[in-house]
Amino acid sequence: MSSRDDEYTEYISTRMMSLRRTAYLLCQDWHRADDLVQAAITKLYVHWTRARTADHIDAYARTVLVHEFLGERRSAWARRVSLDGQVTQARADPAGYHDHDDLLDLRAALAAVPPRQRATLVLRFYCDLNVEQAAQVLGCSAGTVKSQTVKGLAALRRALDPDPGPQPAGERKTRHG
Amino acid sequence: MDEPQVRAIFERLSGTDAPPSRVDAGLARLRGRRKLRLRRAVMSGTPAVAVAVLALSASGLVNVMPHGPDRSHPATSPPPPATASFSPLIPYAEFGWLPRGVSPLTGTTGRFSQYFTAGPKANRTTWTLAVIAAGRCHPSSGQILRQLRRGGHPVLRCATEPGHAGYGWTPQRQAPSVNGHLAFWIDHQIAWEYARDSWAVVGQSGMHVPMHPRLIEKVAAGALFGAPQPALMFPIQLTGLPATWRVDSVSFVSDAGALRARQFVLAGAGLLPTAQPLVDVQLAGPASSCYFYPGGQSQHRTISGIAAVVTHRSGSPEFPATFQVCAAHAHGLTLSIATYGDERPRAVSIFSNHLRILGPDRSRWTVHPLG
Repeated sequence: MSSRDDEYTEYISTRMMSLRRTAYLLCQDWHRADDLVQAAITKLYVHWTRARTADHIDAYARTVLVHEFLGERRSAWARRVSLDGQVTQARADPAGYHDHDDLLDLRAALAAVPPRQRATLVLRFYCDLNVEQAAQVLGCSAGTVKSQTVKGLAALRRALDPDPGPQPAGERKTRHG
Repeated sequence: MDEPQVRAIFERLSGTDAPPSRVDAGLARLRGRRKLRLRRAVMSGTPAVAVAVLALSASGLVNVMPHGPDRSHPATSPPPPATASFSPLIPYAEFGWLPRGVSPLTGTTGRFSQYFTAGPKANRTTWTLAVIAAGRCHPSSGQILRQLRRGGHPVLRCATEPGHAGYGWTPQRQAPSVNGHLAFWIDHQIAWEYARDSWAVVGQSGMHVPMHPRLIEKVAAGALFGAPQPALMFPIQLTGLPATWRVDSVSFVSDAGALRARQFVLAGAGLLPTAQPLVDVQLAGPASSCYFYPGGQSQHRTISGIAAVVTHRSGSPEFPATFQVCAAHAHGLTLSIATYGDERPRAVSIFSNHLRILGPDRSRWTVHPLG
């Protein structure tokens, strides 16, 4: 293995957990999160020469991951899963890992937040990015990040409201087992 | 809904039990290399291959995270012995002193490097410990110090597999000595030569964990090397496999005092690194299920009385074919065995002819995964 590969492998091994958790918050499904991370780190490898010289390699990796998430919403994963219920179910509740009811509620609430707003919330309040940094990752203006944050918080609040109106059904998970 | 509430929600959700990672850095490298080759081919005017490859982007396979044992010792480690290789079946290092509320979680044991994590709770790693066998890193700590003093930018290279160029670490400045050994800061990690030609790296990780250099120094000073450790415990045993096959690396989890293997890789003469059989074993729960690889063809079968999913994924010039058997409920375990390429026996054969399921009862587990 080349030193390029070694550096890359070392970086991935130290950041894997963080990337997985971020991906999980974006999509609320560990297996799907792994698919996202897998795709993201493949892209990261392709661009490793540039990434390793970036001012902040974590920011670079996060950007790739978020773009992968926002991009897949329009393509592969959504199609693959929605066409095959069995796969969806198997992925949604992997071996031995159960959610408690309150966690299910939180997951469902987060899933109810539109993807771009959700990504904004995750970047701001999980990855601890400021408005400008989040804007850089999302490729939008700081103003857009601010408005997406406000909208995302409102959506999350609505979803967690004990007396809610109709909720988006798109990504609500079903529990089984 | 305010910021602290959202942060709390994110912390709560991201701290939920995560299944073992299916992300495979090796696979990412292979696919990345293929894309790079394609890109170069396109740039150099070689056309036809291009379109086909861009379409091929499947999902992730497996790889597991590490773990560690379960103790809290004062920072009085004796001088550790230098060793040129480790046993993958016995952790060579362990955390000693850890901050209150932090305990060892997971580990990965290989022949030339081992890696351990600790954290306040499962799947919330805040500390890592890597240990590398003697003779695999260069330059020496003395040479690194001299380079730093001359204003140079030394690179510590550690080859953890034969023939590898090695990991590249860039020590930035000298750190306080660790138990009398020269040490260096590498971002939020401290690296030191714990024995002659043998290196260890302790780091603090976690997105919301403030970095405390003094804590890192203390955790590093408490790390133990070569101390007697319990062997890893395996809930299954594979028997009658080719005599040249051996366990190459194990990922384990600290499970109520036992170090329970949850994934291991086999190696042997003639087995390419990309074709090493992989065994994944978890304790089954009511909702246990098998992972379906989107790129493969799966069918349900009953093997030795156990319902299983058999998956075949075709090979390509760069990726060997994959044969996988997964059983969500195999006498209390969730099992997955994968073999690659032309290697024999294949996964189905191993599952049906070479597998002894010992079950979830730890009194039946073995320290000899290959019988």
